[in-house]
Amino acid sequence: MAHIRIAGLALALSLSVAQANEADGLWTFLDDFSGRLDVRAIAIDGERSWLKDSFGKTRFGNGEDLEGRFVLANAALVWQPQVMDWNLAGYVHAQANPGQYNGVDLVEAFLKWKPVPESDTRFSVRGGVFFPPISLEHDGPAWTPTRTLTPSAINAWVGEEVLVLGVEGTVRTLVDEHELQLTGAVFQNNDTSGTLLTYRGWAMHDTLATMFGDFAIPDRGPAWSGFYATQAPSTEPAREVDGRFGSYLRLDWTPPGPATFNVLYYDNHGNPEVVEEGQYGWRTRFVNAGVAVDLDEDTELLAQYMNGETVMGHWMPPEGWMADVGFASAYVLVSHQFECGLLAGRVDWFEVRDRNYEWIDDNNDDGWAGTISWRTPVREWATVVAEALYIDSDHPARVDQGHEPSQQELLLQLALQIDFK
Amino acid sequence: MRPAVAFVMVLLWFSTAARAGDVNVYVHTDDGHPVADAVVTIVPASEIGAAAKFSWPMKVVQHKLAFDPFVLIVPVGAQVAFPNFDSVSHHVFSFSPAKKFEIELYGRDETRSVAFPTSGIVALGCNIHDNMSAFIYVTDHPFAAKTDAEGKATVTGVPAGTATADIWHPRSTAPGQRVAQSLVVSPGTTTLTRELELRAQRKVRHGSY
Ligand SMILES: [Cu+2]
Repeated sequence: MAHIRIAGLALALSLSVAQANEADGLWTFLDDFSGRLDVRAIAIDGERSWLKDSFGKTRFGNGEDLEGRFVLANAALVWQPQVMDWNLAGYVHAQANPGQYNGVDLVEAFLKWKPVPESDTRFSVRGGVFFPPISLEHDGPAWTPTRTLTPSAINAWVGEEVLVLGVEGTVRTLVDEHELQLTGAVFQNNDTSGTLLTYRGWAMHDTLATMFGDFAIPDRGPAWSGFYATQAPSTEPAREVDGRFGSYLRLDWTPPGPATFNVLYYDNHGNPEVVEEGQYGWRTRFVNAGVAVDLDEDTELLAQYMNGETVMGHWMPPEGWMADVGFASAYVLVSHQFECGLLAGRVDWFEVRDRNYEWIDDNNDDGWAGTISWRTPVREWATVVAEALYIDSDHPARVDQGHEPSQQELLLQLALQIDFK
Repeated sequence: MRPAVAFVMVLLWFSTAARAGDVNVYVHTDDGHPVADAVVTIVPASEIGAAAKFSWPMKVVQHKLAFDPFVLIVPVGAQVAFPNFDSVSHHVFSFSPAKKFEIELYGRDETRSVAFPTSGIVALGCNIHDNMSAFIYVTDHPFAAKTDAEGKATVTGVPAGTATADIWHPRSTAPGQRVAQSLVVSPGTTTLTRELELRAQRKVRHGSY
């Protein structure tokens, strides 16, 4: 009898230990998740948004009946599992919002191997789906900018059309107090990059490309539709059509002092003559240069300049590629940390130069924008952001929809961002 | 121990204590800002051979994705605890010659200890969070303290007489990140003010990648 009782006690004890372990395991598992909920109130004075088939450069535009109510801007879930023994870290970012093609979709998903450094020279490798390291603004959770709500024109475009499936390696070292970092990658699934930039022009919004989603191309006139008869009415940003590999290379230089510099060259090696289900390969190449400076302990300056070109379609005499444009943009963002919050101001400039067939599809785009943003934490897990975004642009293709080529857009947003951790 | 020997030792201790003083060291930048986390060591000209022993806790906490304290002075041979108060994991490492190690700290209060048997500076990093950084200053000198937010360090019980004040800071531009200056320690309170040139603080900007 005593034996049975002891055995029963041992069983109960081991069961409760196992249960405790299981609970621990569940907690550890849940700790690998974090989330961000972003709800906004908005006021608009500007044309209908590009996300609604028009040429408006902002995320929210006229004609959507959005004023006077709350809008779910995004709900993001991030899973970051760790296998420390193997120096492996995973990163999976899924999100839901009414503006994207699929209600719920994946954005980034990669596995990173980062051995414990044994000297000032360190390296890491990651593989999967990710945004190339171009943006200086996106250091928030779930690839969000942390100084403003709306990223610059450059990084808004990276977020919508530069999502790659690839392998990236990084080496970082110190040479006489100068930190040098070299990053290189080969990738696929970014053949359509350049489609929106060409057919729509630059835009400023915080909508992200998703792995299985697409974006509508603004409606154009009958001449355009005839010329591009084989182009689908929407573009899939994470699409492989030609089987070729693209690549990028980035160099970071941080001398002693408050500034850091980087330059990146990207070439998707797309084959412009390949078309698959209406998705063309676009040969897109660009250079991006970035600088970040701490002006003083609480004031920071970020700036980027991007210059590139893209072609698609067939070579059609006399003028050449069906689409052939050069694009450039730059911004300067200054932010100052006050005791009660962060004030940020940014000026953007952008242009797209159409190089041929302007009489069929005029893809020129010119403009500038001013953004002013105030961000203040209200709880440890909640932040309120108020932002005014003004864009003044000239885009001749607006005539195809019966609008003036020159438009001024004003978007006021008040956001409540809630972080789950 | 024979009572006579004990008596002589107590006497000796009293006589040295009587001739000991406190040293207040103020460290600031050239534009007058106080420098926190500078390690001040007072080395008496005639080394007294006492073992280092410090009153603060021998631990480096991980809290809100940062190490606390940023600089910890420990005696040679100290056992330092690394409690993780975050719910996320940390992978603490050092490749400094004074102590090479790595420890994996899973979330929710996991603690590990590491021994530091060699004097020197141990730079800590976290392999998961690039911007986590801290220093363990392992010393065999008994008279050491670090500056607070006001730039002030108080080293107590220093034998009176000539000594060297050695000041180290991770961002000092001086060779070996340290400067030295001689002083005379008086039995009361001795005050020393020292200017230090610092490199700009370097933020880690790697975004979410
Ligand atoms: Cu960490």
